[in-house]
Amino acid sequence: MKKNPKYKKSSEIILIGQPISPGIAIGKSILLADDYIETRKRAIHVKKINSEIERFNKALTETIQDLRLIIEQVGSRVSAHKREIFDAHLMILQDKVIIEQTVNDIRENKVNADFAYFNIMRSYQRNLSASKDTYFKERAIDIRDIKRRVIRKIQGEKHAGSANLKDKIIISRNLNLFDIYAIAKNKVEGIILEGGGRTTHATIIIRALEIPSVIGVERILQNVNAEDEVVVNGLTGEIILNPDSPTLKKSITKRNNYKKFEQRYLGISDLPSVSKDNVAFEIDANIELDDEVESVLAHGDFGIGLFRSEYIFMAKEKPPTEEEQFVKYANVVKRIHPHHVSIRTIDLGGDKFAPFLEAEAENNPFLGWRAIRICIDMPDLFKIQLRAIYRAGILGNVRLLLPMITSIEELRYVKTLTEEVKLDLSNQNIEYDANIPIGVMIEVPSAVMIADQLAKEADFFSIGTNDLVQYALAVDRGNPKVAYLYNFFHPAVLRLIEMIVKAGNDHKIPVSMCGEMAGDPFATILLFGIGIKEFSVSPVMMLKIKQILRCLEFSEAQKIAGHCLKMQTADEIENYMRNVMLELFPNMDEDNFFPENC
Amino acid sequence: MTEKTIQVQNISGIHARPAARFVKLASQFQCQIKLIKDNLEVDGKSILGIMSLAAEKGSKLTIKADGEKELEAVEQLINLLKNIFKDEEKSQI
Repeated sequence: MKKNPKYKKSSEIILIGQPISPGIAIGKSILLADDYIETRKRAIHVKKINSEIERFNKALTETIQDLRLIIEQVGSRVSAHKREIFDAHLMILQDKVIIEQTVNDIRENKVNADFAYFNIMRSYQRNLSASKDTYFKERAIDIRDIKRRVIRKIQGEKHAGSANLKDKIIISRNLNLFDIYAIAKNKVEGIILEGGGRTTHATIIIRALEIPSVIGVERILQNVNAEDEVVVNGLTGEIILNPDSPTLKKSITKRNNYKKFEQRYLGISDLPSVSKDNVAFEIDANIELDDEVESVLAHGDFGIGLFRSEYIFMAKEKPPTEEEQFVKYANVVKRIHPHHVSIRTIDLGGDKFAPFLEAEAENNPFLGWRAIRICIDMPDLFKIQLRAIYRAGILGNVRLLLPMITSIEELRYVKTLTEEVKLDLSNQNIEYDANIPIGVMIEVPSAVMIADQLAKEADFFSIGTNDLVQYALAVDRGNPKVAYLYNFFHPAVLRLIEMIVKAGNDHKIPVSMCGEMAGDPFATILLFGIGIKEFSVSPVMMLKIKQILRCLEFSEAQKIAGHCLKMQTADEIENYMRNVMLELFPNMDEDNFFPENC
Repeated sequence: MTEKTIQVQNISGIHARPAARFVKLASQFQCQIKLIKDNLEVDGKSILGIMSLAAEKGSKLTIKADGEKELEAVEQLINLLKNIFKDEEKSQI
């Protein structure tokens, strides 16, 4: 029977992960083998000992050459700290004592090179993995990667390095240093990882190489086969496996537009941030790690509206010391100077954990022991962070931002702590900035209701829409059954924002917004019209939001906002804003576009 | 045989960069050089050996040299470590 194409089932699968490096990639998948090696002990004949040693030396030399290539390709694009790790890897490969031990083992015990090297490296690796210090623990992983790489070379490589990765979409559980090498060398199209965290070496280097990538994509390895067609959206985190032909066509247009638009966006980075009728606004970046400063600066000269300091604390066995924190804050503050850097104090709890806190399980973690409440509960921990922030203040323009304030007493209490910290620093003759502005995150409805009172004692406001929407609408968006209720176009949310802006304006303090809403192009005009003048967004969104606002008159935005504030449902408002955007920018597409008419 | 003990004073301990500097100097001497932390003893001319000690701030390191110019070796290596601790404090700021 002839198959009717009309009934052909689409095999398209859509998965979502965390975007870590922007851009759109389309290509055929290649699955990297799980990083596993096997070494079996073999007896080597006396006559073959010398050629076995030769095999070992050759493998080492080749690995060293490979590593030199990585350093050449990515060395200038990563921080000095990362470069130093590469150099240390080189020295480990060239370690005379290790080489001698391996050669002796081969010669005396007449065993194969891979077996000898494996055992020697493993003993060093074990010492390091037993360390309580995170830095040394991480080095154990480096040693494992080096060990595996050399052994693959000895065994005759059959894995990542030898496969042709050009124009491919790499899919793997995780990447090790030498996978990264192969990626840097081969002009890979995109990367999808099932595991992975934002802070690993691999993701930092992927970002530096500007390869569209998504991590934390659950079940990808179950769903994908080698040579499947794959679309990776490094802007939204969306993965499409086996797209049908209309989807594929749409994705190709998206990809081409993205490349075209990126060039044009970079062209506006130096233009002034003012609307068509000359009303000034400010675009800042949200960052989680000090390394991300590079990607902020790559987009132009911007400030940082939200430095999520808790990422320095997460997944740590013990909290970072004052010095460790100071180095990270100082690095960001110096690079961003003269623009401001708003350092938000530890916002742990809820869904962000740190082992050293030993938090107990809660029925309602988002209503529980989190953010400023932990800081107030653990003043010793908090004061260490405050000391590091006040010291970094002398290196540039720092603002202190307090998360999840619900009452004026909390603000006042934190201020007494900052005074104590300043007094201690003075007594110890340590330099600090005595005039750091202290701002409040407005992300709980109670803070909105008393915004006029908070505005008298705070130096600035920053609206955190993610929590504000969750608390105002009583929706946990992690729960798929109610997630549809989570919508920042809800009339209640708009009224809350309007109240915050009014309180800020009445008391002449700046009001910025740093939640996801600030970076949604469909909300930009509405927010500007309500009176938000500072938008803090992810680095990839900065130039887009800037260009939308540059193409518009503030008076027009006010009219649009006024109209929205009279509407009664979220859907009505959202649809209206979509139409407004399409009218203003007819070439607009969901993920990416370049506003033309200005 | 000559030996001397020193306490690690920099925040990040004997990580990759200090270990590299130590090995470079140690390799200039003919004598055997050992580095000891707690009950672990490693070759002072091996960067991997030194790193695998995971010598954090506050830990005690003993340098042991045996052979030609052993006195000079220990003295110079102790001075190097002292300089490393000082440099590291400075480079933090």
